[in-house]
Amino acid sequence: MVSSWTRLHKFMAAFGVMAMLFIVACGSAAPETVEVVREVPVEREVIREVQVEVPVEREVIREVEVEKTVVEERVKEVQVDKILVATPTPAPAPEASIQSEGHLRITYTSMGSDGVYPKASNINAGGKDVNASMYDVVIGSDAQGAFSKETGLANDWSVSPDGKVHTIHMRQGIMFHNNTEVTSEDVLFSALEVMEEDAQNAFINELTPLWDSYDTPDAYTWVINCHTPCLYAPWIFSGVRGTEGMIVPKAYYEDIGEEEFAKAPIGSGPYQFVDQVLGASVEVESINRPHFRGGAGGSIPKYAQITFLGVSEETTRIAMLKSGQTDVIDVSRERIAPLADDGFNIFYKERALLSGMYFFQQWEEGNPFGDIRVREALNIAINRDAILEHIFLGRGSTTLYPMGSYAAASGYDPQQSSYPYDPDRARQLLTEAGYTDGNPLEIKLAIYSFGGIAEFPRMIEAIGADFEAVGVKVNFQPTEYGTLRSMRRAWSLGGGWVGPWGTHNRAAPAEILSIVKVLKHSEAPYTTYKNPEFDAIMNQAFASTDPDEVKVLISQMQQHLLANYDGIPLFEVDSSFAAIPEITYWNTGKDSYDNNVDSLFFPELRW
Amino acid sequence: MATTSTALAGRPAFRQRGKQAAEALRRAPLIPLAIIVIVVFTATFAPLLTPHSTTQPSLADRLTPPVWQEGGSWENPLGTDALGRDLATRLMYGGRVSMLVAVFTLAIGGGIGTAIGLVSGYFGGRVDAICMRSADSTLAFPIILFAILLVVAVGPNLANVVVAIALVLWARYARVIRGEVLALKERDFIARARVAGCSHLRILLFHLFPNTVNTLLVLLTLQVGWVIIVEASLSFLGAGIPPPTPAWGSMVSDGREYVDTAWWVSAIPGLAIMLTVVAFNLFGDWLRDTLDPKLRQVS
Repeated sequence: MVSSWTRLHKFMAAFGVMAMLFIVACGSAAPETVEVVREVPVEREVIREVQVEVPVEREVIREVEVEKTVVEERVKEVQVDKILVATPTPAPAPEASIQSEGHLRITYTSMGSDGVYPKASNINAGGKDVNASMYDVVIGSDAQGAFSKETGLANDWSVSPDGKVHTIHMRQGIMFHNNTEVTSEDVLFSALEVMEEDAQNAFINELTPLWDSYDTPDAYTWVINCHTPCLYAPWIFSGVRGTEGMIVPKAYYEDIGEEEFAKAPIGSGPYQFVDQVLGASVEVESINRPHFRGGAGGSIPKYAQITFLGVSEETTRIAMLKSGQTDVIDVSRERIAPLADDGFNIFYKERALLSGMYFFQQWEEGNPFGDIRVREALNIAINRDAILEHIFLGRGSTTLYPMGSYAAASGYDPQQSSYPYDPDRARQLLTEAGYTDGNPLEIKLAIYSFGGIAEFPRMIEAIGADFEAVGVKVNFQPTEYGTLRSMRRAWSLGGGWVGPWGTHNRAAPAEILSIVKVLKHSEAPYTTYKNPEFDAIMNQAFASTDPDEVKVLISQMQQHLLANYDGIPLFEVDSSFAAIPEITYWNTGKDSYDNNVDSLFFPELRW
Repeated sequence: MATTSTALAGRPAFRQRGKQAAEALRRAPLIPLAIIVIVVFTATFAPLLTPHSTTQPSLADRLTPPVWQEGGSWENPLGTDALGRDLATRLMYGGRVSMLVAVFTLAIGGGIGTAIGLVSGYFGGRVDAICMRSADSTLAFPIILFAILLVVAVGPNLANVVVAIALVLWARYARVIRGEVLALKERDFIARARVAGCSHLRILLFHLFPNTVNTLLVLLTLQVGWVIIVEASLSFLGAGIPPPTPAWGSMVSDGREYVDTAWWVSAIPGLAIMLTVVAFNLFGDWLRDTLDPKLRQVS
C-alpha cells in the first residue's frame, strides 16, 4: 500500500513536472513568434536602405544574397537589446523613424467574396480595399476618380486614332513581394486569368466581345487590340473599377497553381499577405520599403500591419470601435452623429452610393410594368424627400439610377435627376391603367440587406408603404442579394417583380456607358430595359471616338430614361466611416469602387 | 329509497369535486393567466384598441422613446420603431400573428401527432415501429433549419410558417400519446370493448382518445410557448412572416441595429415574447398539476 502511494506520488510529481514543462513550452512559444515577426521588419529595412542608397534598383536584385547575410547579422544585434554597433551597412538614424509602425484594424460590414486575388473579383465592401493593399493596378487613379500616372504600374499610355489599339507603358523596377520584377508578361497573364470562364470578374465582360488580342512587344509595354473601338478598355484595368487591373506574378502563380496561390497570394502592393480567416479577416503586413504609390520617389507605408475584418452587425462594429478592438468601421449615416459626439473622426465618401429599383422583365406580355402609366405612377408615389431626410438623415440627394452626380462632367445633368412626389396623380394614373380598389395593381417588392447601405430594408419598407398609400397591393418578398441576382439572371422575375439595387457613383463617360449598357441595353445578358431607340443612342456612344459627342449622347440617354420611367431612381448617399481619434486623415476619394485606401497607407501625401 | 341513498352517497363526492375545483382555482397562476388574457384580448380586439396603422410609416416620428422616457408621449406609449410606427400597435398585431400561428400549428401538429400516437400505440408492431422511427427522425432534425429550408423553398408567409412548424411538432405529440395508449390499451375497459365487438376505430375514438385528453391539454398548453419561440425565431431570421406585417420576432430583429440608441425597439417585443412564453408555461404546469390525479394527491 505504501509503495503504491509512493508510486502515485512519483507519478504525480512526474506529471506535475511534465505539466509545468508543457506550460512553459507553450508560454515560451509566443515570444519566439514575436522574435520572428520582429526579424522581418529588420530584414526589410536593410533592403529598403539598399534601394535608397543605390540609385539603380536592378543592381539591388543582383545583390540579394549579400543582403541576406547582412540581415542575419542585424537580427542578432536586435536581440542584444537593440544596441547599435558597426554593421556592414549601417542604417542612418533618421531612417529608423520612417519604418512602418503600428497596427491598423479596419472593420467592414462584409469582406465581400472570400478570395483575395484578382480572379476572385473582390469588389464589394472591404474586399476591394484588401486587394488594393496587396496588388498594384495597371492604370492608377487619383482621389477624384481620374486616371493617374503616379499610382498605377503604367506611367504612360495612348490610344490609336480609331480607338482600337491601346498601348500601355509600364514603369520599371517594380517588384513583387517575392522579389521578382513586374513585367508586361505578368500583366498579360493577369488579364487572361480574369477573362477565364471561372473568373468572378464582371467588368471584363464589357471588353471581352470587343477584345481581339494582347501584345507584349517588350518587358514594359502592353498592347490591347480591339476589333471595334474600345475607348473604355483602360478603365477596366484601372483602380477605379474592380480587380481586373490587378497584377499577379505569372511565374509564381503558374508554379504553385491557382489553389495554392489563393492561400498564399503575392502582389506588388505596399502590403503583403500574412493570413486569412475565410469570411472573417485578412491580415497583411507592410513591405517596409518605399513603394511608388507613396509619392515621388516612393515612401514606406505607414502601418506595419493591417487587419481587415468583416462584421455584419453594425452594433457590433460600433461596440468594437468603442472598446478599442478596431480602429475604423464603416457605419450607416444615422449612427454618425452619436459617434462624432463620442470623439470619433468621421470620414465621408460623398454621394458614393446610388440606389434605385428595377421593373424586371417589363417588356414581357402581360407584365403590368409594360404600361408607362404604371411606371410613372409608382415613381411619383414615392415621397423621396421624406425618406432622404428621415432615413438617410439628409446625407444625400435624389438621383437617376445608375447615373449619378459624379457624371456631371460627362454629360449628366444632376438637376434633372428625379420625379416629383404626387400621390394624387399616381392614383389617377393607376385608375387610367385599369387598376382600381377592387382590382388593385399587385407587385412583388424584393426586400433584402445591401452592403454599404444599412438603411436599405427600411428604405424599401417605406417605399412599399408609399405604394400601398396609392392603392397598390405590395407583397414584400424577403430575399438575399445573391438569390435575387440569380433569379434576375435566370429571367424568373416576371409578373410584377420590383427589385431595389445599389451601385457606385461613377464619374467618367466610359464608366457611365459601361454600367448603363450592362443594365439597360436590350442585348445585355441581364438587362432590365429593352428599347430600340435607347439601344441606338447607346450604340452610337460606344462607336464614337469623340469625347464631346459621347457627353451629348450620355445626356440624351439620361433624358430618355427619365422620360420613359425605365426604373425607379432613388438616391445617392454618402458612405461613411468612423475612426479612432488618432486617425485624422483619410480622403476616401471619388473612385466608384475604391475607397482610396492609399491615403490611409500614405497619409503624409495629403491626397 | 335506493335513489335517495344514491343521491345521498353522491353528495359528498360532488362536494369533494367542488372542493378540489375550488382548491385548484385558488392555486391558479393569476399573473400568468392575466398576461395570457391581456395578450389574447389585445390581439383579438387590436383594431378597436389603437388608432395607429401597423404598416404605414410616420418617418418624422421615428425612434420616439416610450412615454416614461424623455421625449416620449402618450401618443406612442411604448415608443416607435425605425419607420415611426407605433410599437404598442405593432405589438398587439404581432400578438395576433403569434396566437394565430400557435392555434393553427397546435391544431394541425397536435391533431396529426395525436392520431399517429393513438394508431401507433394501439396497433403496435410494424405500424408502431414505422411511426416512431419517423417521429425520431423528425425530432432529430433541427427545427429551425428544417423550417427555414421549407420556408425558403416555398416562400415566407403565415401559412407556410404554420406548416413548417406543424411538420415538426406532430412528433412530440405522437410520442407522448403513444406512451399513454400503450398503458391504456392493457386496461380492462379496452378488453371489454373488444369483447363487446367494438371496432378498432371506435375503440380509438371513443375509448382511448377521451382518456388522453388531459395529457393532450397539458401538452398543448406547454407547446404554445415553444411555438411562439419558433415563430419568433423564424421571423427574426427573416424566414417567418414577411414585412410589413408585424411579428414579434421580426420586431426584435428590426431593432437590433438600435440596441444601444433605441433599446425599446427590440426590448419591448422581446419582453412580450418572454412574458407570454413564461405565462403559457406556468399555466401549462398548473394545468398538469390540476389534471394529474397523482400530483393532485401529493399536493
